[in-house]
Amino acid sequence: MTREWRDTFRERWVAQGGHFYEASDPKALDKVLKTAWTDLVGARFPAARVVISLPADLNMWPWDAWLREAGASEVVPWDPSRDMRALAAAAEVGVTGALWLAAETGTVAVAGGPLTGLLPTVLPPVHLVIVGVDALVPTVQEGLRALYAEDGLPPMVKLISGPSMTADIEGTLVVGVHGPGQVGVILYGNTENDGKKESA
Amino acid sequence: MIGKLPSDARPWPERRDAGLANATMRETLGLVTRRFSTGKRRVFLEDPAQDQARRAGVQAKRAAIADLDRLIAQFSSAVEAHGGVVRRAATAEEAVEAVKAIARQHQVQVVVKSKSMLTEEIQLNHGLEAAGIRVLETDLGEYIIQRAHETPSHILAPAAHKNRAQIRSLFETDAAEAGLRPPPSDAAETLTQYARERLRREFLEAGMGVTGANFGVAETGTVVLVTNEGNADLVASLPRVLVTVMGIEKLVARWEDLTLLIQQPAMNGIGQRLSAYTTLISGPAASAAEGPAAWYVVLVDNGRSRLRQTVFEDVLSCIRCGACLNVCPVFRQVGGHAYGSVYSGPIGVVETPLLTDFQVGAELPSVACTMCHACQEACPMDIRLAEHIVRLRQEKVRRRLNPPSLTASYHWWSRLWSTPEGYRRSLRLARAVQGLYRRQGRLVNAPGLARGWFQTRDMPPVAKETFLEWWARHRGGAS
Repeated sequence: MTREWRDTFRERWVAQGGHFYEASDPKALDKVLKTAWTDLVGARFPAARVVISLPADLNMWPWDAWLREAGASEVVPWDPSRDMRALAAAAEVGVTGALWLAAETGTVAVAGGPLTGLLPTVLPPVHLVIVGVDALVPTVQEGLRALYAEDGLPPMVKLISGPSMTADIEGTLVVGVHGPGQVGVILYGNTENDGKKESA
Repeated sequence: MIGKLPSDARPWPERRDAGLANATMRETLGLVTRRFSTGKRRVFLEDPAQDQARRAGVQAKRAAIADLDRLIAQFSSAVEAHGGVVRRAATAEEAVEAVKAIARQHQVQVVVKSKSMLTEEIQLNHGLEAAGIRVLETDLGEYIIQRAHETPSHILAPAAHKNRAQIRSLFETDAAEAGLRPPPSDAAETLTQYARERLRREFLEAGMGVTGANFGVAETGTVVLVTNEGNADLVASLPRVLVTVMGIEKLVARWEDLTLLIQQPAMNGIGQRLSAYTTLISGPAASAAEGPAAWYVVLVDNGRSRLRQTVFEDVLSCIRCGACLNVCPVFRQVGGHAYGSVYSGPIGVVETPLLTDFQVGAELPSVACTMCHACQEACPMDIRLAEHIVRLRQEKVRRRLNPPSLTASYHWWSRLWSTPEGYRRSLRLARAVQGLYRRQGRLVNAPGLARGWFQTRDMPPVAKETFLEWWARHRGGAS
């Protein structure tokens, strides 16, 4: 199922204006990150500053070094004791994880918490999501149900289904109004050996 | 209690003609309503299961309206259990006073807002500005019309009546006032980029954010906001104080109900599976780094309770998706301003007189509907819009709300045409005098009370010989 969900997610997310990258072998994550950076940030924002707020299980990788390698001039980790409003507003790139990805609608769900922030998802002009294949769910309905089953809803949950956009001026579609104009997802992990875990 | 809505004092013919004369608006509305309706058809065809979710969602909305008192109490305790504060407002004035009191308490000078029809309905900006508070709309279309001191012409495309040159000139004045560089061209991208930079500063400095609400979940005390621009996210996460102004009819009972309904506004309104940014708020900030330290929800009635347990109760299920506007042949020609109410299109025709007990928009059911029923077919919440328009017309006759000349002419017309002989006599009469009223092969006027009908219509002339006359001449004798 994970493979089908991945395919549907990719199709819909891209159709809605998002970018999609895959690192089926997590060892290739740094290379995939570089490709994503070239597409989303590249020449548009030379010497871009990054605010990064990832869940604890993603901290096993050296993001700081990888992002600098890709071209970041500064990498600011989420720290609730600092003025994150100003820091996120000054950054060109926000990097976060995700609660889940809904295939049917091409949606990325993110939540804020005591240690993770949502400002990197909306203040910088580029938002990059790093998330594992386990996060794929078929529909928004399923994702929301799972969220409710866990005890206590986070104060804010956001469902992102593409870049920030408007058609308010003569009906012309424009991306990047108040939120990011460039949104990308890096999906890591193997969708091919799906089900092996259960049979093992 | 009767609700209060702002109204445009100009009479309908003047509002209608202004709409018909605005070429920019008609072109933009033609484009977006077509795009929205085509998109809606496509997403429902691609995901047939979504229609089941929609139908279950309708049941959830109906059940919620029936159980509203309990849901309001449950929602309030859930919000307060998470550290939020709930205020109730029976009228528009009470709602504005409640928001003003919160602003005063927190010594707020600047408010940033995301789009909300309810705050238009209660004229919140006007109330706050009168109290010396600066209010900035942050939805791009709303920002444009706020700068022009105008009102929305479509609930989803508020500035559809403005062209790029007009918007550029508004932004040039705005830039001069704010000490910013004006937009270098009138391209839609450039104008959007200007608004982003202009409002970004305000977002970071504003003391309070105000949002509406698309849904409220009683069980969890959650408020749901739907936007494509991401501005509601900024309104809800940057200022230290957040106020959500929500109509009581937005409540649903359970989280499960929300899962059925959450895609419906975007699917039906603009033909997207989900809005680009959907925000679910269940409490004030978890950390000092982001989010409001204080969260208030103002629950507004303003005439809504009056509709409960009446034949019009289903109107309270409206999710403000705009699907009925997009398919309405009247709306697509005259645009939103012609309705003279914050609620335009078929839902505005029904809701404006109902909320205000015919104080505002009493003319709408008579003048702004062709009885084509497209709205009723398009409504995802199965609101019987066309049937309600007929009921409102009947109610107007009962209450004698029409001009006596109108009532008299319809009375005589129906008397005349309720017998075959009366109908034939009227045709013979028309044939005798129609020569005086023909222009390019069409009938364009008539004498006496019938003149009013021709003000906005024409019709083909009566044939020299009708089919019935022909039949009588050729075959009538044979049988």
